[in-house]
Amino acid sequence: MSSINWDLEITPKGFKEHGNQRKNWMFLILLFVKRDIVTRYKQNVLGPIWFIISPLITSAIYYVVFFKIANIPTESENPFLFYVSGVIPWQFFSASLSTVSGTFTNNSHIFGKVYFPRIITPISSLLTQLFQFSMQLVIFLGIAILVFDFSFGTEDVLTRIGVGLFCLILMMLISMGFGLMFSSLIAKYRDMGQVIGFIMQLWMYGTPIIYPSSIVPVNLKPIVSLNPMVSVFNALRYTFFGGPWSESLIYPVLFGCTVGVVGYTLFKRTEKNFIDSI
Amino acid sequence: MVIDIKDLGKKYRLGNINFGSLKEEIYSAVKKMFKPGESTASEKDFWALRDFNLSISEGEIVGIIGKNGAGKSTLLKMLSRVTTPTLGKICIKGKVSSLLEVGTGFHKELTGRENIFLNGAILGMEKSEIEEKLDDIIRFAGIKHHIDTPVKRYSSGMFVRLGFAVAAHLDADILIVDEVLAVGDMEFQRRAIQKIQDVTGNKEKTVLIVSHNLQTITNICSRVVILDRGGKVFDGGPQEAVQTYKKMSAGGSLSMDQLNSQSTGPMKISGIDVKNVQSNSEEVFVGDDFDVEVRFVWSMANPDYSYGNLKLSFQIHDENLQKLSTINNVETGFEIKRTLMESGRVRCRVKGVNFAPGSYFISFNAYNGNELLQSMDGFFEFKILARPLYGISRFNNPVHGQIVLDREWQEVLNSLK
Repeated sequence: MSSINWDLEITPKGFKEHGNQRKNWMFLILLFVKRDIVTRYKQNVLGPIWFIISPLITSAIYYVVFFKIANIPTESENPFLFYVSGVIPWQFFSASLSTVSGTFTNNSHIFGKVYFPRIITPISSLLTQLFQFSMQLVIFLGIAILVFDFSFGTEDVLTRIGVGLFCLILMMLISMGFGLMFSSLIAKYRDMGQVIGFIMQLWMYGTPIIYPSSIVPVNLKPIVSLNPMVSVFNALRYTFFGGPWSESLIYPVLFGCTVGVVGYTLFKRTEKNFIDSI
Repeated sequence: MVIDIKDLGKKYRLGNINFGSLKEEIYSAVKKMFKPGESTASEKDFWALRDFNLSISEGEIVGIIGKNGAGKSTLLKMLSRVTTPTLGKICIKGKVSSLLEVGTGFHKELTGRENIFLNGAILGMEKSEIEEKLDDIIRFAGIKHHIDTPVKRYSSGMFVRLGFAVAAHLDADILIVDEVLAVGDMEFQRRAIQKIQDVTGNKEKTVLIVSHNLQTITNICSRVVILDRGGKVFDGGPQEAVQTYKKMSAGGSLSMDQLNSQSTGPMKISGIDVKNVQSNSEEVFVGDDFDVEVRFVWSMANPDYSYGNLKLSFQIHDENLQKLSTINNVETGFEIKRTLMESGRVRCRVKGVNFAPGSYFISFNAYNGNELLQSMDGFFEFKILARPLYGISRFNNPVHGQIVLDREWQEVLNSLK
């Protein structure tokens, strides 16, 4: 019966869709994002205020512990803003990575009942985080300007904004790639879910968030520079505060592309049969 | 032809996935590297469906029946693209929608209206399509006044109705439906079946439906496929199918194998009997009280096994395997004491029965707390014989229904002034 033009073929290798079976899934992505944003704060007393409070409290703790008590210099005229400018992007990066890595385990009830391209779920998670990040960014700029009367400087504004946007894309790429890789691992070996918490913590301390890159001892520099997020965060600091910046972003770009491809490949492989193992 | 299934097979791996399986996986991967082509099949492999072929033409309504574990849900999952086959191929022509559950993706914090959009989009509907059908969906679900209330405040009936209403408005050429009709009240089930018939009546739509309810299958299907242990054992008209299925599962004497199909615990059923209370014989007449007796054996294989509350539950079905009643010891507070005897019997006296004469089928489950100890595969058949009752001398079962009611006729005269 090869004469029939099938619209859909299901084989052990996956699905082949032809012709008008292809759909526009953008609407579903938007609904998932809306659902995640609306429901996250619906039951809380303070509602959406939480996503402003959370980075501010974290930064305040860092300010007291690392600046006031441990005396770690920040090389910034406003240490508190220095912490906030690291904490907000890091929370975005780390939350994106964690939610994406939970894709299979947290959605198994839906994945077990209905088909839609599975990649929609991590994309929606990432967009939800991006929305939250943009809100936090606006608040951060507002606080910096209104409360601290902080001027972000006017030199190379366009370059700085460009570098910042590029860093945002890099953070999305790396968190997505790693998240997808971990989502496949966690789908099979649940303990990996515990491991990811430790990895994120370790990763944070290896990234210049509570300290400036310049105070890293020379003998540790080679190890630290294996972390692609180092140059990303240095570039972000340049975006926020200006100053000299001459670091190359080639390493994080290559890194991001690699984990992106590996993560996506693993994800595609896992999505086919993962429902059998839950 | 709109669906063509060729040599379809699905293999599952039994057992838990743990560190052992990681070790095994690395081992078999290494083995594969050095000895390619050598099969790594293990005893843990289990074929839920094998060498399955089926072609469905446009407009057919195909019902799929089979016992638990026959491969029905595996087939549906592959058709719905929830999982991929291990072998073979499925080809589909046209737009396909599948409904393995109603209300998939509903979020309890969102309102009914928001959930219609979310659920519709998950099922593959476009925004404009949902907007266009929104009023119809709300009307069909009958929840107009609650549409802007979060669904967490809905009753379970409303929840199911809303879920089905969305699904019923899917615009697909092929509809794949799981046991979703088993939910909701009778009135809603009637409308759901009606809706499916409307769907198939107007346009040349193709429906594939899985159901345990033979009544549903015979009512709406034009063709029935019976699955057994991962293979197709029957493919034909609904009337013959029902006969075949009953022959497959019924019978006064069940093999030990059938009695102990899902044996996970230390309990083995050794027999079931239905006896007339008064005569102590197997002849039960309409209106008689009868005893259902279950005999079982405890295996002492695992001395560490801990016992909670034992629950024995049996279901009585009519000839179409429509469930008439469920009886268990927990609801009446009867405790089954599990002493360390090797075998036991539990008897339940069923009183005040008014089933009409005919054949009835009992199925049986045993639980330890929430854990399923036993699930009988197949049915125990018993007969209720006719004799005059409530002044009726001739029973016209099944035309008059399954239940005989005591009655008293009266003529009420209006006084004419």
